[in-house]
Amino acid sequence: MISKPESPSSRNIPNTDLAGLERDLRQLSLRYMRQSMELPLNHNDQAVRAKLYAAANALQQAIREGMVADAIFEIGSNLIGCEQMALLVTCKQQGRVAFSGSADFNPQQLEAIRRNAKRILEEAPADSIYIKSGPEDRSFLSSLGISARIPFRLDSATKGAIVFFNLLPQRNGLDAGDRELLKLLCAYTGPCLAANKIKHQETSGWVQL
Amino acid sequence: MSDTQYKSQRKTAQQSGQKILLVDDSSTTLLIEEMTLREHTQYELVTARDGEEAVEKAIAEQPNLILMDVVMPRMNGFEACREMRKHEALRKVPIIMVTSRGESCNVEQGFESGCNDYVTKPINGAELVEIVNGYLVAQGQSQ
Repeated sequence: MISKPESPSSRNIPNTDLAGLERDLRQLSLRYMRQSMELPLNHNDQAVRAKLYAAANALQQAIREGMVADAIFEIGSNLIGCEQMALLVTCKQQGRVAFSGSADFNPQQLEAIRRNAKRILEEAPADSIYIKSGPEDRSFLSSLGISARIPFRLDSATKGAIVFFNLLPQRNGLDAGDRELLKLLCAYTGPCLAANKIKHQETSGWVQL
Repeated sequence: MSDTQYKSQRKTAQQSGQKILLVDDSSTTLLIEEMTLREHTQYELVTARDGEEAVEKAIAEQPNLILMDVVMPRMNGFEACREMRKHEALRKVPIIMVTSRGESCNVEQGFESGCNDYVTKPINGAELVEIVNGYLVAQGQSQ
């Protein structure tokens, strides 16, 4: 299943400077919090708004602390239900891919990511969110055990993707609420990582593939 | 559950002045739990970020219910649960584990450590309020 990388906030391109981005995310998080609190608990959208609030809040806290990758893994693990996540970033000019992953990969999975990193970034189309459509999904990304791939851009030459692998056993698949979270990540991961780099020149924990 | 039922349970909770200890090292999970319970119930909330802090807070605060994550630094949820059960005052306090993995082996391990119930992540607000009210409204009525 493919969707365009738009988000509730992508009508305005997110700021890339640290202060502007923090302000945007704070406002966004407050808006989601208000929306969540206004809805009754039995309304379908209440849980989605609550998760969007927590995710925007986590990103906002993380950019100043230099912990954006950790915040994304936290969002994946606690709000989406996936403990196997990778961040891939490639620079067109250098043609190399950098990888940062959650702790739950086995050596075979790491090797599969290393071998297929460029194709994971370029497949299905590269600028759209990919979500596995179900057991009948025979795409290349699905064959690697990928549940979702969320593209982002750091700048004009550098693109990347968040890759969610196997979901936790209680999750049968990603739903419309998860899609909203993925759109938020699609819109804000690039600017957050870029803003992070402004303060933290060296991004620790990243491996060149 | 209807809005009327929620409001009725909320009133019961307000009258009873009950307290919940929320334990999780995940700031996003804690944020959702706090927001949901503050907005949809009137229970007093206390938080802890790991198992050791949870045991200390449980002894000091004497909560009416504990909602606790399993995987945490310093002391995990199962160990904290066992530790809490050693204290007379905490022996009958309902402990609900919040687990990422709902497989039977994890659930059994939770019950063996002395927990009463469990919910799985990602947290669902309606499910959370329902399970918490299920224990606390009954407890409030019996007092």
